[in-house]
Amino acid sequence: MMLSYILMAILFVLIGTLIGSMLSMLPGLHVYNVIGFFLLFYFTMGLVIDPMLMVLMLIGMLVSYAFVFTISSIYFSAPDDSTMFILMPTQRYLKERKGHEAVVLIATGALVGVMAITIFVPIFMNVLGIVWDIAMPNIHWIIGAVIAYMLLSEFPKDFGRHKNALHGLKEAWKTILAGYLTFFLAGLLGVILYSKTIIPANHAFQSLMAPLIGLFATSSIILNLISKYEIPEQNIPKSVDAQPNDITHGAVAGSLGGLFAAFIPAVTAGVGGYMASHAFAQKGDKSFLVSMGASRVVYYVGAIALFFLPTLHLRRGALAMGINLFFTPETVGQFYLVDAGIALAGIVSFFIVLYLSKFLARVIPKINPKLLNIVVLGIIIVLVYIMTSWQGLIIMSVATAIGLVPVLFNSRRSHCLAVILVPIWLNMSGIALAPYLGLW
Amino acid sequence: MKGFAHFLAGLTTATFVVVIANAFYGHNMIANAIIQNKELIIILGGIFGILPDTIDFRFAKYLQKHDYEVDMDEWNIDPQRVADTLAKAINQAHDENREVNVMLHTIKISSDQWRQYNVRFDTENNKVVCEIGPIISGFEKRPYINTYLPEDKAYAEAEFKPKLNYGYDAVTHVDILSGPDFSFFPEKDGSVRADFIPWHRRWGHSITMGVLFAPIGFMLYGFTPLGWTAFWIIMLGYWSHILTDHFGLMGSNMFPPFTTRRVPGFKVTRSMSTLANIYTNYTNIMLMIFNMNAWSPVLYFKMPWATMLGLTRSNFVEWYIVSLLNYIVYYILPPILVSYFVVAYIRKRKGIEELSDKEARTREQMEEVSGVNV
Repeated sequence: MMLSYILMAILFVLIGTLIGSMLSMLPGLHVYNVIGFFLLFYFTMGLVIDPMLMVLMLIGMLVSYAFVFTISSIYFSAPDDSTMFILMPTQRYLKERKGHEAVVLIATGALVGVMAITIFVPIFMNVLGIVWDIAMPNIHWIIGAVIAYMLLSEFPKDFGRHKNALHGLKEAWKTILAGYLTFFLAGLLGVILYSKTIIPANHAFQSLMAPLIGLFATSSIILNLISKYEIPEQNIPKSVDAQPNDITHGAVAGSLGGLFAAFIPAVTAGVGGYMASHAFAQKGDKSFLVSMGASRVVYYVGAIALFFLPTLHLRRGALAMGINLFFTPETVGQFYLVDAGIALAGIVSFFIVLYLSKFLARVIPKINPKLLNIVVLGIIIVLVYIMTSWQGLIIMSVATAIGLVPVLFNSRRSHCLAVILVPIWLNMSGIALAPYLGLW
Repeated sequence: MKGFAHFLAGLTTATFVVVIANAFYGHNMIANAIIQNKELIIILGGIFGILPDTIDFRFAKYLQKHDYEVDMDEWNIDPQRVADTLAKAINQAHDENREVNVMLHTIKISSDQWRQYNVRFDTENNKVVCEIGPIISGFEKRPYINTYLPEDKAYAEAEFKPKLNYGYDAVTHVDILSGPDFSFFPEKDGSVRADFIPWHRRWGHSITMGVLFAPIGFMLYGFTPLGWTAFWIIMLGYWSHILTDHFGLMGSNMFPPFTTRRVPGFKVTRSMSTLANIYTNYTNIMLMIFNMNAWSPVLYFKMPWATMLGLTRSNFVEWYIVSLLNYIVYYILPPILVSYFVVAYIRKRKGIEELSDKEARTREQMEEVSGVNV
C-alpha cells in the first residue's frame, strides 16, 4: 500500500471523526440519520472518491458518534436506545457535581471497547465465524430468550411498606404491569412500522428515527420539563477515583455485551450491556458506566468490524447496510485498514470527548435547565420534521406517550426496545401479525 | 446466583434435553422442529430457570406476614425501638413456641439517599444492639461523613432470655431499598433460631414445584414428542435453579410440604460472587454452543478425541459423550482454572482473606434482600 494512500486514509478517518463529533453534539440526532444523507449525497453527486476512503470517513463518523453522544445524553439528558440505561447513574453523578467524572468513566470504557475490537476481533476471527454459523439457525429462539429475560428479570421496586398482602402485591405489580404495557405498546408500534411505511417513501431509510427519539429522548426531556430539574456547578477533577478492578470488570462485561448485541439481530447495545452487567454480577456505578461505554462502542463499531471480517461479512446495523450499497469487502487488507481506522478514530474521539465535557461542565450550570430542555426539544422536533416529515412527528408523539409510561411508573425503560425486538423476532420466527392487524 | 445465571442454566438444561430427546426419538426430530419449524421450546428452560426467584420476589415476599414492623423516618429515629422489638420477638418465639417475624424498614431520605442503621445480635451476652449510622447515597452506599448522630442518640441495646442460634455475621446493615425481615423459630432444645428473609428459598425453590409445573409442557404441545420434551425442559430447567443456588450457603427447602426448613447449601461459593457467576455463565454459553453444534445438520467443529476413536454421529451416544468430555477439557476448564489461580494469586499477594462461614452467609443473605440478586 502506498504511503500517500495511507496518509489519505488517515485524513479521511480524521475528517469523519471531526464531522461525527460536531453532529453528535446535537441531541437526538443519530449518526445513522446523518450517514443516510451522506450516502444520498455520495450517490447523487457521483463524487469521485475512492470507495474505501469514503468507508473510512463514515467509520470515523460512527466511532466519534459512539463516543461523543455520551455528552448530549448526560448534559442534555437526551438519550438514545443505548444510553438510556446509563441515564439514571449519570443523572445522579450530574446532581452530585460529577458529570465530567461520569463522562470520563464512559469514555474510558469506550476506549477499552475500541481496543477490544481492534485487538480481539482479528484474533478470534475464525471462532466468530464458527459461532455465527452455529447460532444462525437458532437465532429465533435466542432473540425470544432475550425478550423473555427482559420481561422476567424486572422485579418490584417497592420499599416493603404494605398494609396487607393484597396491597403489597398491588404496589409490586403496578411497576411490573406498567413495564409489560410499555413492552406491548412499543412492540405493537414496531410491528405497525415494520409492516407499513407511514413516513414518505423518500425518507423510508429514516423509519426508526421518529419512534426511537420519541421513546427515549423526548420522553426524558418532557420529564425534565415537568420535574424540578437543576444542574449544579460541576467539579472538574484532575483524576477520576476508580479502581483498576472497576475499569477491568466494566470494560470486559461491556465489551462482551456489545459484541453479543453486534452479533444478534434486534439486540441493541443497551440490552447487550445490561445483560452482560448481570452476567458479570456487576456492582457499583463506576463499573456500570465503564461497561456501558464499552458496550455502546463495541455494538456500533463492532458491527462494522464484523462486516469487514473475512470469515463473516455480517451485515448488522445501518452503516454496514449502507456501505454494502457501494462497497463489498473482499480482502484481509481492507479489514486491517478498517481496524486501524477504528483505532485511530477511537483515540481521537476519546480526547475530543474529554475536551468537550470539560467545556460543557463549565458552561451547562450557567444555562437555565428549562430553557435548555425547550431548546433541545425544539431541535429534535425540527430534525424529525426535516427527516421524516409530519408523519414522523405523529409517530414521534405516539412513541413519546409510550416512552412516558415507564418513566412515570418507575419501570424499566428497556421495554421500549420492543419496538425493534418484537417485529424482528416475529420475522425470524416466521410469524406474521400484520394480516391480523389489517396492515397487509 | 444472579437471575441471568439461572436463566442461562435453564436454557442450557433445555439444550441437553433436546439432545437426549433427539437421541431417544431419532431422525433429529426435536432439533428439526426447532431449526426448521422455528419452535421456541428451548425458551421454556430459561423461563422456568428464573421462575423460582420470580415466584419469591413477586409473590412470596408479599404473602409473608410480620408480627412486628419497625418503620422509622429521619425525624423519628429511635434505636431503642429496634432493639426492644427484636428482643421481644425472640422472647415471644420462645415463650409462645411459635415462629415470630419482624420487618425492619429502611429509612428513606430522598430518591437516592437513605440513613443506614445496624443491628447486632450479641449471642454471648443475650443482647440485641442497634446503632444508627450515617446518611448514605446511592447503590454504592457512600456515607456523608457529617451526618452521624451523637452516640447517646445513635446507640441502644435490649436483652433477651433464650439462647439464640444466629448463624450469620454479627452485624446486619439496614440501608437501601427494602429492609430485611427476620424470623425467629423455637427449637426443640429450648433455643431460638434466627433466619433472614424467611419467605425466600422456601416453597418456591423446591423440587416439588418443578414437578408441579412440568405438565405445562403437555398443555402446550399435547402428549407428543414435543410435549414430553417440554415436560422435561420445564422440570429440569426449574431444578437447575435449585441446584445452582445450592452451591451457595443459604440452601433451599427441597420438598415442601413434607419439609419445612431450608437444607443448607454446599458452601462452594456465594450467590453474588463475581467469579462464580462468570464461570457459571461461561460454562453455560459454551455448553449451549456445543449442543447446538451437536444437533446442527452440518457439524461446524469436530473434537479430535472422537475422531481418533473413529466415532461419528451415527454412534451418537458414544460420539456425544467423548466429544463433550474433550470439549470440556479443551475449552471450558482451562480458562476457568487459569483465571481462578490468577485471581487467587492476586488476592493472596494483596492479603485479601477469605470470608468466614458466618460472614459469607450474612453477605449472601443481605445480597438477596431487595432482590439485588435478580
